[in-house]
Amino acid sequence: MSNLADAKAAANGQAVGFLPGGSIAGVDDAILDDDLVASSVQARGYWEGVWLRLRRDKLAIAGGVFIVLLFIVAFAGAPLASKLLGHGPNEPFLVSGGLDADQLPAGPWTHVGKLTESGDVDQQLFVLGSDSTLARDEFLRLLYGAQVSLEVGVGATLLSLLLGSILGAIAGFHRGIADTIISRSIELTMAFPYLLFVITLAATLGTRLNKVTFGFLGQGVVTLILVFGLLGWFYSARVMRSVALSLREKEFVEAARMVGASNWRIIRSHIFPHLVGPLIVLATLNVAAFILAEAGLSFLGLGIQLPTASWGNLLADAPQYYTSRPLLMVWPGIALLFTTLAFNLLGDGLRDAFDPRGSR
Amino acid sequence: MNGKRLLGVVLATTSLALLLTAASTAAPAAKRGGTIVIEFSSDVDYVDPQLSYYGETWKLEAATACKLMNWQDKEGAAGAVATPEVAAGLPLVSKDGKTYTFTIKPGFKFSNGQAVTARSFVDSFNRFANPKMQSTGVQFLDIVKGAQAVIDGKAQRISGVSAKGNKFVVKLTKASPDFLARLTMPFVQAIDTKLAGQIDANGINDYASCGPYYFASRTPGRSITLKRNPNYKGGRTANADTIQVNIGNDVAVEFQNVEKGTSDYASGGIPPTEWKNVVQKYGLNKKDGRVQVRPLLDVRYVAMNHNRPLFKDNPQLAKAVNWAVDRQAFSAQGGYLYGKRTGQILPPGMLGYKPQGIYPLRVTANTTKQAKKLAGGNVRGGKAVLWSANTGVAPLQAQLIQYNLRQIGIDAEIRLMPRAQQFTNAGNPQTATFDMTVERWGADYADPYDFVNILLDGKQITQPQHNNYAYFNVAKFNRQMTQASLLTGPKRGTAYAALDGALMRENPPWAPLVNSNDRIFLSSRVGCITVNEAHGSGPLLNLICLK
Amino acid sequence: MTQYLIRRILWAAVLFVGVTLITYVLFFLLPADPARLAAGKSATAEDVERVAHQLGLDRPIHEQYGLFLKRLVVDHSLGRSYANRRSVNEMIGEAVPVTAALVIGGAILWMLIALPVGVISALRPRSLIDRATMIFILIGISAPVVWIGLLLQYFVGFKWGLTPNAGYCDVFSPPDGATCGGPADWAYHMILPWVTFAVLFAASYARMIRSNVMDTLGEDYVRTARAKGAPESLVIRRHVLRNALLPVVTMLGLDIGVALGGAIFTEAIFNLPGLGRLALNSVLNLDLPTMQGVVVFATLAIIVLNLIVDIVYAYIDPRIRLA
Repeated sequence: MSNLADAKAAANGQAVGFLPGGSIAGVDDAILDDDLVASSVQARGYWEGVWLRLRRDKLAIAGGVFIVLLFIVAFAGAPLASKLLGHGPNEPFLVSGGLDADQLPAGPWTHVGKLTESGDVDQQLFVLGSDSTLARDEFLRLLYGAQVSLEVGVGATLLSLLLGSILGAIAGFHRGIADTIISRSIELTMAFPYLLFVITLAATLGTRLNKVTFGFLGQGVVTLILVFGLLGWFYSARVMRSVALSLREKEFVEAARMVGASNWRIIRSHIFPHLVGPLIVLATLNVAAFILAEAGLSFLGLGIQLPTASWGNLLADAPQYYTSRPLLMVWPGIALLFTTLAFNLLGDGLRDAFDPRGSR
Repeated sequence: MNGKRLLGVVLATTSLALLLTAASTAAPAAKRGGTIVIEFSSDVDYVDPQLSYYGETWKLEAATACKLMNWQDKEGAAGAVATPEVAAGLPLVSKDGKTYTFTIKPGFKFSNGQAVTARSFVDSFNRFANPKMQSTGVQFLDIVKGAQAVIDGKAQRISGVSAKGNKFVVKLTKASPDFLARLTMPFVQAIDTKLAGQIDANGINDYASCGPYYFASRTPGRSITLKRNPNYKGGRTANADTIQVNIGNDVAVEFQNVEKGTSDYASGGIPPTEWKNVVQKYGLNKKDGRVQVRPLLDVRYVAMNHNRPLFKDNPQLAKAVNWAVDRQAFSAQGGYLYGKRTGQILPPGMLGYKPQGIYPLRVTANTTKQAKKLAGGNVRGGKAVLWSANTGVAPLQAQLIQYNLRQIGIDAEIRLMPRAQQFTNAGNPQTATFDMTVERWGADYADPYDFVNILLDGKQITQPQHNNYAYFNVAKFNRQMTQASLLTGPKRGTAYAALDGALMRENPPWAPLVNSNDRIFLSSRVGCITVNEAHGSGPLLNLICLK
Repeated sequence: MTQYLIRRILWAAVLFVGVTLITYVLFFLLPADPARLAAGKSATAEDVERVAHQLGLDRPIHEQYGLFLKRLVVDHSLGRSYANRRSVNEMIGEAVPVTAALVIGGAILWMLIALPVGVISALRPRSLIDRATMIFILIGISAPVVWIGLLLQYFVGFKWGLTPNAGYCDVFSPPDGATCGGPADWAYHMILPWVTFAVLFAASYARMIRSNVMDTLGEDYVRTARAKGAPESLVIRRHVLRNALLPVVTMLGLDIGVALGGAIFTEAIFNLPGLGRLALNSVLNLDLPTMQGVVVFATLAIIVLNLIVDIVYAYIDPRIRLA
């Protein structure tokens, strides 16, 4: 991939990124406007400016609020609900009520029976009914599925951005051998058909890695984080590289050099602050893309391992209940739609907030 | 009119009416023609007669093969008896029961015009045993004299099989009452001289057949086409001109297609929850009705690997598993009329079947308590590996078993894999790294030997590839199995029933779960539906016709 | 220019070797035993050893890779499938036209949607059309492809019966006994797959075109053209569109790899016998040669297509051409 076409694409805004479903906004030169050069007073103003602009974008704020709520619901709400309802997301309730008279999954707001030690039947509530013929709680699975989606989305984003931005910044700033090696590696990774490789890697590494949970992650989460992250780093690396490339020519860098600052100090104090903006934007949009990718992979049977719930698995099992329990297709689809929408809205808002010239 | 003439007229009219009714309900001769479309959800292994060992392909071969002994195209008891087809009558059997002489009926022809002779069967046996074909069914030749030498590569031709004029002679190593049943398997159908010369472990995709149909073409992964054999003069009907098999659609799509009428038979199945709906909509087992359900000679079970530390010499744990598994929930995963719950090895309808009430067919607080009691102290660490197929309802069923096992203190790790990989690796001692595997076994032919000896006799487990997934090898039971296999008549049934009971009561190799039903969903276009599970599941393809 | 071309071609060759090496190593580190799988179901230990030797699996891995590369380059062969013993070349050859039809048709469809939508909403910012476009875009990029495909299949394909719900018809020479064939059947069966495939890309391209056009509208040369009195339509056609759409061409090139990913889901849902379904089935069946063959082929296609895009771009961009 020629560096020229590259930089043009990045600068001119979009690339759908490397995933169907991921849409990454570009990085505009405007961010690097000289007006925003770091100096103690204006640096504060820069962030304040960003916040002020962001506040005006109601949709972005709505997205942000939704995301915060989602985190709370997923990580605090799910265990709480589980405690209140008296059962977990993976427990089948086949003995009484989980399946109705026709052996179909129970409908929303059904009371189902759980066999206790002493032989009694304890009536508990399924808010959204059963998820499948295994009669597990759809509502809880949806909540715990949010955990998994967020773990994969955030984890993979962290990994790919960490790798990508460090490598990209080094490449763009140092040029020379480091740049050549890193750029060539970027091209190499880009040459792979992304999803194809993700599928094959997930299938092969999965057999070894799916059991790794560090005690709290779902089965398969680590595999996906690694696979998405390791194959996705090139995207942020490219963007970071062109940002760093243009930054290094700026006068403030020259000035810092004249004063005797080391390369590392220059990178740390002058370049990174300007990378944060695009990084944050990239991060939010990447999370959305990875969440959708997990759903797709789980649909194909290669993502999160059963019995752990994920929105992708829920979506995969739902079509067979088209005619009897069509709502089962609705819940995970809507959850995915709103979550991705929220991240996209927030990302768009952040992009606009960091770019004062935008008339978008 | 006077009385006599009136009577005459009445009689005449009545007889005319009777004649007309008789004519209209006579065997529908005018139903020939057209194309029947069938859906398979995944591709078959091979269509090559000596290689294909898969229920879906055997359904097709039921329409294309001509064999020495075959099943009749009838339902019920008449269809369950092996009758001579290419053989002119029952064979002449020597006094020691080891030599069978068949006379070949003239008139059978392959689709390419060649005549079926005794040589066609000799070629078939030899091609089957040929090590270069790498056929996985060769264990069924173990009683044929000289077959093992060919399989081991030590001889070129099977010494015990020969053609003399129109006589086909088979010599066995020992008397085997189920030999005639074995001849109904597609492996030993007649093959023409061209196919006899084509030795290729990849399988031949188009070849001449001597049954009512032949394989006209195959596009792997997409479709298979059967056409009427123009030279067929045997007694079986061939109604449709073409039978088209479309491969690869998801069960939800298969259901949609058959519901709409773009396809005629969903051989791969329909979404489990749809069965209740279609039965309510179209009724059950009506004549030529759209929904037909028949019991199958099969069993679904969890095999417990007795070669691994968890179940080795641990009958109490094996019994605990039998108490813990929720057979009803397992069946519920498959939807309405999935099958009948069972706690026995042999299926209903098989000689020797007797429900003995050893294990509960539904889970209650008491059964769970009993399960925990039996398991207590015997879980040996409590970690297990559970294998299962990765398609259809298998993953759900695996999760269910996992849950049941957790109740008795076993933490099972589920490994999902393609079905073919599952039984291939399970049946190979070097790759069998599982403690339990969810399996299914369908009868190759209707005799308890096929269930008990093939699946549980200890001498199997030394073979590089076998079906004894429980790796069960108990000397006392091995002896009883061998003894039972030599008996005939009702004594055979009693012996196998006792063996079934003893195994399950004392030292269960499996947790049997369900005997499946053959559930058939058809379009409104088709009629002439006859089901004979001995031929294979589904409607008989040579009989099915467009209404 | 020539120098540039030669460098690009050489680099493409290096990329190819690198990709095949990585693919090869990764795949043969799989936990499945390739020799056992290839030896067939009733193999004994001796059989497996014999096959391993035949396949060269008992040689050191760099030798194996060398053989693989040689077979690939000299014999142009990708091996034989473990699942059905067919030649991988043959299977890929059958699958490519299907995926190409899906991707090209889908690309045309998405451009037909994205272009007018993106341009018009850019020309009328904040109007009703613009707002509607933004909503369409946001939903298009946020909704899971799989969900859309399943919904379309159920409602449009089955419930309302407007189009076929699945399956593929060959345009030329349908196989013997096929229930449909010819261009009309083919197009009819491709409608839902094209729409499913295009929705996502239409949304993101509409958004990209919209922002490009808005950017270009603010450029100096547009202001100058207007100041000189040029009619608006001329300004738009000659200056705005041309410059706004150049990056789109680049993106199309980059997106080929992504498109193959989208194709996997679409082919799975609608049962199209293309590369995506071939890849998916080979993964689910652990059919190593086919998996590897598809990845190598797809990567080669991407490298070649990107090379072409770069060359075309080099011709267009005078900075490179005159260098």
